Amino acid sequence: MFARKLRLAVCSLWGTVILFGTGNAFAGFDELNLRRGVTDISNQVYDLHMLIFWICVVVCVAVFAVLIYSIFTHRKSKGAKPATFHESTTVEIIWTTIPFLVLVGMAIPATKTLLALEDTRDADMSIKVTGYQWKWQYEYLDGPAEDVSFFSVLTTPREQIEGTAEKGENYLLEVDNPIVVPINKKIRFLITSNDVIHSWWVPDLGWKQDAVPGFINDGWTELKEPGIYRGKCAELCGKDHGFMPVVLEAKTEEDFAQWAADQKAGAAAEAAAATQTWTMDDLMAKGEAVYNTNCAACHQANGQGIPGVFPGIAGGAVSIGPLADHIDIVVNGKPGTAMQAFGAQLSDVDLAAVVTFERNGFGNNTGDVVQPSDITAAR
Amino acid sequence: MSTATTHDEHHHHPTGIMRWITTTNHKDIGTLYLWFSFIMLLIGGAMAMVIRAELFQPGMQVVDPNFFNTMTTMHGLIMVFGAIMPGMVGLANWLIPMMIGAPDMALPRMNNWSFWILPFAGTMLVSTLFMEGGGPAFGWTFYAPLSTTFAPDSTDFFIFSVHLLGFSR
Repeated sequence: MFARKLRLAVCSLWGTVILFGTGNAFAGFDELNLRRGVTDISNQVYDLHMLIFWICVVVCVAVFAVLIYSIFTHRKSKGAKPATFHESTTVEIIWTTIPFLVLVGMAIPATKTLLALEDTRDADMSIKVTGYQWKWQYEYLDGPAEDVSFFSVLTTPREQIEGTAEKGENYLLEVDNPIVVPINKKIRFLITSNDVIHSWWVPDLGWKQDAVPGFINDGWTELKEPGIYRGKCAELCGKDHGFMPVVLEAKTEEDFAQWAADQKAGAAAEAAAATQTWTMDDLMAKGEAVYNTNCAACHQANGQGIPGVFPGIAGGAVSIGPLADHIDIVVNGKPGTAMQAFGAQLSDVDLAAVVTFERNGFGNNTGDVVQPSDITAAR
Repeated sequence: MSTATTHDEHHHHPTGIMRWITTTNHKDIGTLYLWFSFIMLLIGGAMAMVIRAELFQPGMQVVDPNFFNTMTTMHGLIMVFGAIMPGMVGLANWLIPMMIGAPDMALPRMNNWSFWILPFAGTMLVSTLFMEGGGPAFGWTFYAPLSTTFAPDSTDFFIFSVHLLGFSR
């Protein structure tokens, strides 16, 4: 309360100075400033930021005022004589006490906000967030969407990135499956990683949290309004670090329950599709889509890979070698490399399609057709 | 042999390139450090220009993401280990003996040796750019496991060169 009053007092004082001093030079201030966000916590963070900012301004102005006054008033040409005293306990106590009070005055509100930010107790719902090179996985641990799990991958077309098409409104901030949460519920996020360090960041929530392999960090939010909130990975995680955005969709409780039911129905339909026999053409068409979403980041859209970093698919030793080895590396990954175990990420249909595509696309033409049942058997 | 001729020989310095390679003069060594620092500043600065050229507008225009990350990483490493640290050491080599009234640095031959490690370490660091898989692309803070399991093979050269850059002062 005191902090808020102080902030108001200081704000209005300096607001006046700025208004008279600089006209509308500060018109774009809100665009440059930290954003206020949409939750209670993000507002607390914003208020704390402004409080600290204005304390710094006051300290800075006071110190430089004394400094400049002293330089001008006590200069040699005005006949100033240097003082000759050696030490002054009074002065030393004053210049220790003032910074001490300023620092403690900043630490108290900062600690309050930090504790509120970290307090993930009594959450209504928990979602596990896992960072991958270069996408996010969301697993709903409880609530209406319990056991729903999916990957969230960038959907911005390559043409927009390469500049051959007009950039869309949400350029590099759009995904196929956004994380969906209900409003007015305290959501706890358990954040970890499958490979390297990522960071899960939605600016409107007022925080970001590192996703570290082998550790689980947590964070929480409670959204008030349905809407779409966008963010990015905020820790350099390799080549496509800039291409793994976070899209968070807040829905009303009813809409969220509906969404959860749809997700579960979709999962059931996918399981049914895995028992059917697919034609080569269908597998190739689906496989190409799966490849472009999951494989092209490393092995490249043309299947050539990047020499010395990511092996090529076109004429690659694995993709024209024995079929069982190919299925094994796709399903189980290759430990010690960036090749992930896609068995945990993709359905049997997707895996069958992508292996078929890799063995017959890019001029490989092995003629092998992999059915979803082959993948089920190989798992 | 008279003492006078011995004294003369003592003042016979090598000339040309050998003067710089064998020098034990703290000012000469300071100058070498400062020139090395300046050259690295230009190389690191050129990399910053590549970064800025790519960021000039949204989308990919000039370089691919992997090379972009290599540029940010190498820019950071070169500026910290190649420009700022040798720059500081160069100024210190030049000024501190004069400020404290010493005739030269203690162990002047080691002072020479520590400079001459630098160009080799710097060359090794820059040479990673031309290796298969490219130079280090994991940020100058090299957080594992991006800098270990997921890094290009040239990382071994990068680690060795950063050690050399570190103990060459």
